[in-house]
Amino acid sequence: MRIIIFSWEYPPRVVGKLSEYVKALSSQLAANNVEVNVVTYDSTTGSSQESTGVQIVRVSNPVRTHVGVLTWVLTLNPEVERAAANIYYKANKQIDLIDVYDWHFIPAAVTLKNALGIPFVYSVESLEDHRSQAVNTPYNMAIKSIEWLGFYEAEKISVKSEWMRDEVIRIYKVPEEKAVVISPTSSSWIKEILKLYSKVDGGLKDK
Amino acid sequence: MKDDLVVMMLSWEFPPRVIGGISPHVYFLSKNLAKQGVKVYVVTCDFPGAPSHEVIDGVEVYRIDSYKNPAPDFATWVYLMNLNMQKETAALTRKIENKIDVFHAHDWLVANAGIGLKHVFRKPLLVTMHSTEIGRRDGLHTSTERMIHETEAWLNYEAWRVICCSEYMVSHVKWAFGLPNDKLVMVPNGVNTLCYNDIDCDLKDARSKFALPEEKIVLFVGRLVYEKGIHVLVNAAPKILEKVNAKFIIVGSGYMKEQLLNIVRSMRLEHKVLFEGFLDEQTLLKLQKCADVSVCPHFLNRSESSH
Repeated sequence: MRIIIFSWEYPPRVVGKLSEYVKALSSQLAANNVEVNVVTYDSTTGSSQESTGVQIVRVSNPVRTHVGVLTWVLTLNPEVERAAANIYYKANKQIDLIDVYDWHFIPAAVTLKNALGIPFVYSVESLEDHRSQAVNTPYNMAIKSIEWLGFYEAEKISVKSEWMRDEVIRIYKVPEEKAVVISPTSSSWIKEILKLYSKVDGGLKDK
Repeated sequence: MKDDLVVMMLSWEFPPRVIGGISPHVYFLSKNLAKQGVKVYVVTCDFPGAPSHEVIDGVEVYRIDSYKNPAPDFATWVYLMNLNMQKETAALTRKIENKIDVFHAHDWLVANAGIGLKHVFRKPLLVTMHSTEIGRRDGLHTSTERMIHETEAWLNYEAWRVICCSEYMVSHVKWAFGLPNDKLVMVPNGVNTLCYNDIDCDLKDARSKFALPEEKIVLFVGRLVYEKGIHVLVNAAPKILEKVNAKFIIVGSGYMKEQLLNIVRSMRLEHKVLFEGFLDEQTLLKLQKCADVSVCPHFLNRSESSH
């Protein structure tokens, strides 16, 4: 299996706990014979390869001046698309799926799905509704609408707790069978992730 | 020309959505390419009453939902609209089995969509630069203006070729983004003279609606915005009137309208300078035909017959 993981943070860039999580996940996947490519943002560190064999592609934003996180994210996405397309063509168009962490790179995942038929998993760390509780400015609603697009277009949704699964279903009206709980503290963590991936792999080809 | 050439055109405006000059430009370009045997797809923003898909003069027009996401400001709206435009264009391109030869983007308003599509499908990207932020604002003064300028620079960097509609715009774009000569192509806008052929029956009648028989008609057609230079013409009116008995007809609308009206009032020339707003096509053609002089004081693309 060959996959691409999208995450806006990966060591040495650490914004929150997602960074270390994605590193642990990708090395565990590599240990289980998954070819892992991570596409992430970093304006100072170049692309590299981990000792585990995981390929890290770091893109930066071609537009340096911004008026908010939204414009920054939306101009970064075409670079994520470029990096992912390069991996795709180099691998003879054989990418089984993309695993996207949070909303930042949802636009790229959605385009790649519609353009190249690569299915994606939307892995939820946090939701705009919780980060900006009861704040309904157009800015927050725009982020929420990108999350909504991700939930709609994803083949599967991965969450870390039953509570988060309930929240995703409650706020975004996601069909229950689409959201899967996989706890990172569970002993069967990687096994369950691999099981989820195998369900998604070929998901678009069946249709 | 290779007769099975397929072009995927990206434009934020296409008739009936008309905001500025890009809309008629893309319409006539697409229509005439189709006439030459080129298969043209246009992906553009929606407009009330216009269908999401239709064939106009042999051109396949797809209109996307451009207000799908709430947006805090105009620039963010543009980028969010690009997200949807890119997604729809990606699905359309996949549906026609990637059988396209080139993506053609018009201005920064479709930059994100065009750049991403170029890389995802590995097809060449052509760009037409109709104007620039640094030219429109006469410099870069705010973060938004700088951001738009950098987006334009990125688009010009990613483009295989950059088309401009005048020699002036070629040199301006070269200066603004540091492009090499061989990347720029000058293709002037065409002027369709055929549509004036049928208009001769009641010209006198049409003329009398705007001017007295002894008045010369000075015509301006364009948005009432800074870069169109309309304030230069309005301010020159008293000097012109010293020598010629003229009527100034201003067609179009824009944010400078009130300001221009105030200038005209302060000069007490309300009876000589008329603001007509938008006119229907027939009236405009008649007016263009009976005008004595048509003025284009545009600061940027002086040869563009933009509206």
